[in-house]
Amino acid sequence: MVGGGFGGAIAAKTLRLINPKIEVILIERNRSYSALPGANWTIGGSRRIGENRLTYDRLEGNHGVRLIYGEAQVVDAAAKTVVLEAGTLSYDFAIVAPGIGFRVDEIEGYAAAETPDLFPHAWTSGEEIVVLKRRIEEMKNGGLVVVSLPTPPYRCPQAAYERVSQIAYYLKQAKPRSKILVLDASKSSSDLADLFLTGWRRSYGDMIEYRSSQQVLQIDAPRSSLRTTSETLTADVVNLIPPQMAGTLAHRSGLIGEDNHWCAVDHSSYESTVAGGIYVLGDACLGDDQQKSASAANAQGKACAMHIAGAIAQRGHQPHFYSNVLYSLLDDKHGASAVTFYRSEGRKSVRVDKGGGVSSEWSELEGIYARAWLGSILAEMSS
Amino acid sequence: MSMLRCWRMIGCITLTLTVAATAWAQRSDKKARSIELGEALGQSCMACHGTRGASTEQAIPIIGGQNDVFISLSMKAYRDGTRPSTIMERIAKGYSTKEIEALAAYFSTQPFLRPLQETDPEKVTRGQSVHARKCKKCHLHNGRDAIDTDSPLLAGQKLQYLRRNMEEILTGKRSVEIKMDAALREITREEVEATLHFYAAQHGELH
Ligand SMILES: Cc1cc2nc3c(=O)[nH]c(=O)nc-3n(C[C@H](O)[C@H](O)[C@H](O)COP(=O)(O)OP(=O)(O)OC[C@H]3O[C@@H](n4cnc5c(N)ncnc54)[C@H](O)[C@@H]3O)c2cc1C
Ligand code: HEC
Ligand code: HEC
Repeated sequence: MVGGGFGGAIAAKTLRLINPKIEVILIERNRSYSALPGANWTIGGSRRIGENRLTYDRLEGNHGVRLIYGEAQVVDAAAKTVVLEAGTLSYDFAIVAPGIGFRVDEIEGYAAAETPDLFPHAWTSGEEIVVLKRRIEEMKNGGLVVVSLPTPPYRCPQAAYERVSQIAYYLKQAKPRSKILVLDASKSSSDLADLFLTGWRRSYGDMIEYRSSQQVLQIDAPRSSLRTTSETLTADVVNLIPPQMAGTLAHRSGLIGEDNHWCAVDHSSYESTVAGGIYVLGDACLGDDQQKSASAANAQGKACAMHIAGAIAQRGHQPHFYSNVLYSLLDDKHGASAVTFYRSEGRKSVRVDKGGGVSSEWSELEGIYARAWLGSILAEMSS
Repeated sequence: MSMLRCWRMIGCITLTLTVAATAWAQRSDKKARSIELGEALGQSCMACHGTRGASTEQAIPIIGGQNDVFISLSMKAYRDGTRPSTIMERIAKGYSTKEIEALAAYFSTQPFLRPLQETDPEKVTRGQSVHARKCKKCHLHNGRDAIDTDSPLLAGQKLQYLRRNMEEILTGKRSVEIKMDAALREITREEVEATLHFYAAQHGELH
């Protein structure tokens, strides 16, 4: 198992829960994982980023998952090996969940090394939120914050709307003359977007201006300016979330499908359709209609583990059917959620019409449950 | 008794036993398949309700080891919109009756884990006597059993969650069996709160 994020950690644990005779090795580059869900709340001030940090020792202690800390260079489907700096490991089944990478070449002027510090994305690890939070805190009252959302598919669009809400919640208290301009590359209009737009209007009045179909084409980060499909503007803080693709390991291991960006998988098992014997989970894989979320990665991790345990025991497995649940906070108290069901149909994953849906309004009770969901899923993947 | 009749009777008993055993085997086979389906479907419940339903959060109920009749009834009531919820209605609507019963079969066969919770010892003592007077008829064995009833296990359930549900019951948002309503009519808010402390205080291995 390569990658101990929301997809990988739970897949490793579930395999051991189903069949403790299966030897599971989890390869992860970092000794501690800093989760993204809840990271936005640190901007609004209702959470500390330290609460998002996890370690893997209880997966080892409680479930006997073996950990190797290091960078996997490549997973070789033909040789059935994972190449690490320290050596090479052979496997019977390889699962990878490397998360995302950025298509920075699609934004002129984006320098992979320097830009994230000047125009922080805070989109790959919870820890990155610290830089963005500092920039917003250092901004003058009356400043302009631009939040740019990329073309889909990308990691958790709902989190981008939540990001805007949390920035607004902070600004409303600390710098009420400031403005937020949301440049959304999507032509957004969904129940979910409506719920946010209504909440923004009610709680933040005209502090937030939302524009759809706005793609960032070029930037000059040192001058804090950017050019979009319709204008050039400068801002005091820019939260630029670049367009995305599967994480580097997926590219190096030849797992990318025809779209050139994401891993192609058979959704009944999560096995790669490009390189057999390698399974891909979470944000890295292109799920037909599937959302890229911690909730979905968690469900896929479990489904894939059940499939592999079934294959090892030489018995069939149940078709996948799961819910994807996303909670958000509008401020420090009010929450809302969106539920979507998916099921595997042949090699595809399809969205189910029955059940699910978006909260009808923002409520304190769902604010409590948003925090409880996070507490629960973090505990589940790490203990 | 003639020899023939005797043989016939033995044959009859054997046949009855065989039929019963086959029926039993079929039933337990059906039950096993239901549990297996419930385990697969139940995976996505665990992100909120904890590994095997052992919730780690005060706001979210433990469902592992809960009474299967109660789990089924709750899911159906959520689905029909007859029990109030923030999210369970949208979740329960995704499952067929057969799937709900499979989920109930799976979670009810998991252990009910009861980690230590913070409770007030005075309330616990007071609650114990309220329980004995008013609640034990249905919430059997200090709230640890629910054999042949539709009432939930309460011992070790999360205190915050119990409070929220009691609030819904007392304010009439959630309707419960008439007899439980009657039990609640005759006691004060303080007594109810004390009883919840009594349930929440039970932890560890219980027999
Ligand atoms: C601000 C924000 C808020 C969010 N909020 C929510 C939310 O409320 N609910 C929700 O469901 N989702 C949320 N998400 C989405 C969620 O964080 C992702 O969908 C989820 O992390 C995807 O899991 P993953 O396992 O695919 O990847 P990741 O969690 O990114 O894990 C990948 C892991 O692989 C490791 N790795 C990668 N390559 C290698 C390698 N070569 N060798 C070794 N290790 C490697 C990485 O270190 C990392 O630990 C949010 C996202 C953001 C940005
Ligand atoms: C996103 C989180 C979440 C998921 C996923 C979830 N639940 Fe729930 N569950 C809750 C919450 C929150 C409540 C309290 C009612 C409410 O507000 O919706 C609850 C209540 C319940 C109850 C009532 C228990 C009691 O003692 O009163 C049952 C039973 C239940 N859930 C079963 C399930 C099953 C079975 C699944 C999977 C099919 C599931 N839940 C998935 C969050 C969740
Ligand atoms: C006549 C039987 C009966 C009596 C007496 C009774 N209960 Fe109940 N109780 C039930 C049933 C049945 C339910 C489930 C109701 C439903 O969901 O339809 C329930 C549900 C509950 C719940 C909600 C738990 C959950 O997980 O959703 C609480 C809390 C509770 N009872 C506490 C009490 C207390 C405290 C008393 C004594 C004061 C009491 N009950 C007396 C039958 C009873």
